[in-house]
Amino acid sequence: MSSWINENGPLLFLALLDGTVTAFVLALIALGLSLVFGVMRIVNIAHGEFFMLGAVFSWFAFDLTNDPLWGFLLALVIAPALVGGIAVFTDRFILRKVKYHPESTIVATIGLLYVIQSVTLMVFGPEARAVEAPLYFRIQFPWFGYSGYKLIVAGMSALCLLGVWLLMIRSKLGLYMRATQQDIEIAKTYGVPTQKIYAAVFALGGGLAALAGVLVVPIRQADHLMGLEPLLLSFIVVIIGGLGSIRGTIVAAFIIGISDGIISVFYEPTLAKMLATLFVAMVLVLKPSGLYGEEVA
Amino acid sequence: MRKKSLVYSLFFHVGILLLLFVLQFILPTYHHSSVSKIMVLASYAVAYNFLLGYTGLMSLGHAMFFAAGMYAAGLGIYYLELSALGGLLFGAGFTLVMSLIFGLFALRTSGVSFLIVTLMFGQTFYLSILYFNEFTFGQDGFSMAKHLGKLVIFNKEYLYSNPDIRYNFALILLTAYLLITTFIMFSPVGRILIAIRENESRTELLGYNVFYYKLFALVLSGTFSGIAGATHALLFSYVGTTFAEIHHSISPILWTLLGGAGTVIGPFIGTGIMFYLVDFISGITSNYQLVVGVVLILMIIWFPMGIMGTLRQKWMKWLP
Amino acid sequence: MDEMVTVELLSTHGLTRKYGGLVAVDDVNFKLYQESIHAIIGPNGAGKTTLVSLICGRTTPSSGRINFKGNDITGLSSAKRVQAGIVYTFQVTSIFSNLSCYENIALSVQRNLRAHQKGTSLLGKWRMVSEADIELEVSKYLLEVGLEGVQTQIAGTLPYGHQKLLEVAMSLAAGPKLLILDEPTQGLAEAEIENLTQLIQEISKSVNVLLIEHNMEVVFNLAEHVTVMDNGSILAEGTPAEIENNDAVQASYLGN
Repeated sequence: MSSWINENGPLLFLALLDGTVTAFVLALIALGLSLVFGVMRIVNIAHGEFFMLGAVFSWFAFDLTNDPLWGFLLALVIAPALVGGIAVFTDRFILRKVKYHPESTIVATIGLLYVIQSVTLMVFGPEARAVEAPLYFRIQFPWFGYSGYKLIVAGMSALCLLGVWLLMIRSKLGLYMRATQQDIEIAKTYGVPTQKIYAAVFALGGGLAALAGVLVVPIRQADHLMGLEPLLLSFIVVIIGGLGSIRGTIVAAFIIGISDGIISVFYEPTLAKMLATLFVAMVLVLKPSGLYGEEVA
Repeated sequence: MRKKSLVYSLFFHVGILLLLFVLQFILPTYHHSSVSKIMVLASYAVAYNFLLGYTGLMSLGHAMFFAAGMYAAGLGIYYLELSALGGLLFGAGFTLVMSLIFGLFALRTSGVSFLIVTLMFGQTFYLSILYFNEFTFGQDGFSMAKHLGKLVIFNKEYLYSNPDIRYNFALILLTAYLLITTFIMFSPVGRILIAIRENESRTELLGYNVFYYKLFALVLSGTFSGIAGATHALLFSYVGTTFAEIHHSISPILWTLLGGAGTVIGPFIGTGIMFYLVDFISGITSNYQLVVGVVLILMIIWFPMGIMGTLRQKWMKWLP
Repeated sequence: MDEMVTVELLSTHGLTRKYGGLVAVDDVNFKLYQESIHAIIGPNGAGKTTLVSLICGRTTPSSGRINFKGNDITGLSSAKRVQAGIVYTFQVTSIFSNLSCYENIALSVQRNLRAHQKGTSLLGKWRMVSEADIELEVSKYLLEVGLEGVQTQIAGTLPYGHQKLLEVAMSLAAGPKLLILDEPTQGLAEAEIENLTQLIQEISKSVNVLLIEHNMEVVFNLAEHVTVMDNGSILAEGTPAEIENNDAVQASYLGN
């Protein structure tokens, strides 16, 4: 047993590190999806595309400034803002028009996915393009060197998650959001501007996904198809964690992220994905409210 | 009143089917094979509509049934040297069992959860085809041409990929599905399924075991999708993973909604229109996905009842 | 006056329903007798709707049993309970708004007719109920509730009071032995309430009726037997007159 650890220990540690970074980023993306479902009771199939747009906008920022650090900083600001804008537009002109009816929003957001993906293909092209990391340094562990930027990603994601938590707990916006999630009719009678809150939540969800895209793009390249896998993974996270529960989403993101890291290192990715999706389906069937979630109506 | 509707409906649908039959003698080669393909895919959409339009359950993983029928038939013919008919029956049987087991699990959930469960199972099925690629030929898929025998009718031999065979078999499939759907929807069972779609809890509290009816609809829809998949393999000679991907689960939603969910003929109309639309756009740019996306959005906002649905509401009240 | 022989139709034994820490229905032993109009009253949150949900099977009990016509129905699904004769109309009217009034009632009629056919010969079992039979029955029920002629109208376009009547017709068509009406007069105008009260009187001649009501006038006009609930338990039972004079009931409910 100990020889296994000696042999595989460093590999395991690497898997844990990678898994942690994945988990943090996944938590950001899944949180966006979860907030939207929790407050608006809809599923946004185009959510992964917001992530992709974040990465793609980041590339454009990098291309524009020709400097990794400035490009990164610029992207951090404009990518979530642009995507948030697209989200508000979508809410106003599409989602509201179908009255947030669950099946209609699914169809509409599928359409949105196709539109965003194909426009990106037209403008950005089919190739994957690399973005340089804003900071390059290695943390030297006894067995291997690890990208310092990846750790920065983890750190910034953690800060962001903390920020969202504070927003939900401490701010007026967060209060309104939680009230709307609890009971929209009662929230309306108390004067909560629920339509604006919907737009805000959808924008926040999209912005979080875009931010994740900006953080991740130096690690993996940007391409127009990169949104599908995070979409599926965040579905898995949100379901296991419980639809609408923030704490559950973050916990589940870690479970999934770290398992994904470990399984991918030791096993074939396809098998890992297969087992993960099957596992999620069974969770939904046997315990529909996930780990922490409320009873879904 | 219902009798009258049934009679009008039969005339209408039989009329369309006769038109399709006659069309094969007029159409130029390209359109001839296009219509064949449309009819098989439309059968898939009709099967899908049975679950979505009539029972009110949206599945995001139906490609797994189509692909299951396709692969079961294809692999059965390839490895077990089944005849074409044997492959078809094997595909049907396999999909029947699969949809039954799936239904017993998935129907314990409802609404958004059901949607996600179907999405997840659909993905799992797709991934498992890739994973077991030594057996299934994975991403490349395989061709059926060499393994299919010849069809013998009245002592004449035909290839399954013969254009006339393709067209008429596809037409037979579509005819069968349209007629079966019409008859079920006019029967007591049809009334119950529509009631479940309209108000599930009320239906349960009028004494109906809703779970069994949903299961029936799911198994019928799944099995018929599988048969369509098997037929596709036989007629178009190719088995591949594109038919198990998410896009192939989304397509019947698009076709059904465009043509009119909850109408018998709607899915066929929707399939035909989208097929030609994509064909047309593909001539201009390879990016037809943009058009599909825009159509989906415009449709769901302005036109949620689809073409036949809107027609039915305004003029053709008897249309099933 | 002769002692009326009262036959028990429905009874609950130690019926309890908890939601986490909240006890909505607390160890309730409720009895309902044949050939009586029975009303349950009580303040909001007393557990009336929960008790009734438990009876018709929409909710499962945390503990306890329910007997109906001598049989233990605790394990039966709500659909099976309807088949056994317990039919419930929703507090917020639940009909098929997008379907015609005809279709709304036809659904109940269809099942009820088939169920009665099952008792006949083997040949009878396989014969499908004809649409003509259904049409006759639908007309009958529409007439009974006073809604003749609306067959082709879309149910959602009916005024609210008529939608309630439609739901009553649907419930009658399901062939109930016990009809449970959850706040039937809520949202109705005076004239509609009177109309409905008369209708319930008529219905009660052949079907047992259990009402949840807040409208005390209706309760006093209709009910022969009243159960008062509060905080998940039965506070008092008796005739309307007895309840009116009950001090505890006055304090907790009627007085307020």
